[in-house]
Amino acid sequence: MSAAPHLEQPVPFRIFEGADGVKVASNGTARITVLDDSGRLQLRRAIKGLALKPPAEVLIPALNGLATELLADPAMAAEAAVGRLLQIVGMVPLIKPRHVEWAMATLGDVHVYTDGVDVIVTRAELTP
Amino acid sequence: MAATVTILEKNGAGGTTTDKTGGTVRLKKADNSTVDLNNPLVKPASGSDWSFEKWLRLNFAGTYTQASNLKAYTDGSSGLGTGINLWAKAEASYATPAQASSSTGYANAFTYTSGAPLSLGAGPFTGTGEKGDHLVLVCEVQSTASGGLTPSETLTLAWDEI
Repeated sequence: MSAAPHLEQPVPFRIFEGADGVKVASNGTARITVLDDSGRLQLRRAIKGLALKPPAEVLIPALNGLATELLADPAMAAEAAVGRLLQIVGMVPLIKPRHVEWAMATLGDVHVYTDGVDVIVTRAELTP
Repeated sequence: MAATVTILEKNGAGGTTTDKTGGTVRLKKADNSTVDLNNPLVKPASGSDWSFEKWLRLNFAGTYTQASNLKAYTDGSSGLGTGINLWAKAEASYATPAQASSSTGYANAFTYTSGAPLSLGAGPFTGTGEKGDHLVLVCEVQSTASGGLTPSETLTLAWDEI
């Protein structure tokens, strides 16, 4: 499931009691309602991406390596040099730690998961 | 409202906290939260080089009813390369981070996946502040490490909430 594309981090769902006491979870754009009294509604949340490497740890050895190559081959073709630089650019992850915000409704042994975009109905326990 | 949850790194005898929710955790041979290239792990001629323990814990703020099923997991696939291990365990009580010397009491962090996570406490937890067990990580570099660049590895911390 994916986050709303226009936001850096997804909006958490909020659980509240709707009309007639039914349980409702909403993130402002999507809403999931549990009509049955025996149903359960909860949020399943996560922070993914902790422990990304600092860019310096990747860049310093790579740039040192390229500098060594350039010193050894000062006539390196421009295309080759730029190509090596672009390879280095690709080594640095630009992905930030991201939050995952799901609402999860359970009726019996069936779970309904949604992140506000996708809806999954399954008996399996899914984890972000 | 949903809780505002942050990931804290704790250092020093008093467990000074640093918010790492949007940042990087640096496993090194020193007990601090600074992300720099100081105190690196070095490939040893024999045996293993060990990092200091890295103590992490979820912190709940804002308004929420209760949280449960706190857990941590990886993608299950280590990209760290031969001879580099990441070890993990859960600890209820904080202790001043020390340099590890073995993996006793730990499990390979990459055995913890979304299907088989490391539990940081079933709960339910209520109120604000740090909740659940600490996630303790250590890194081991063995003499068989190949060196060079390794890809980033990421962790997921997850919980249920009402």
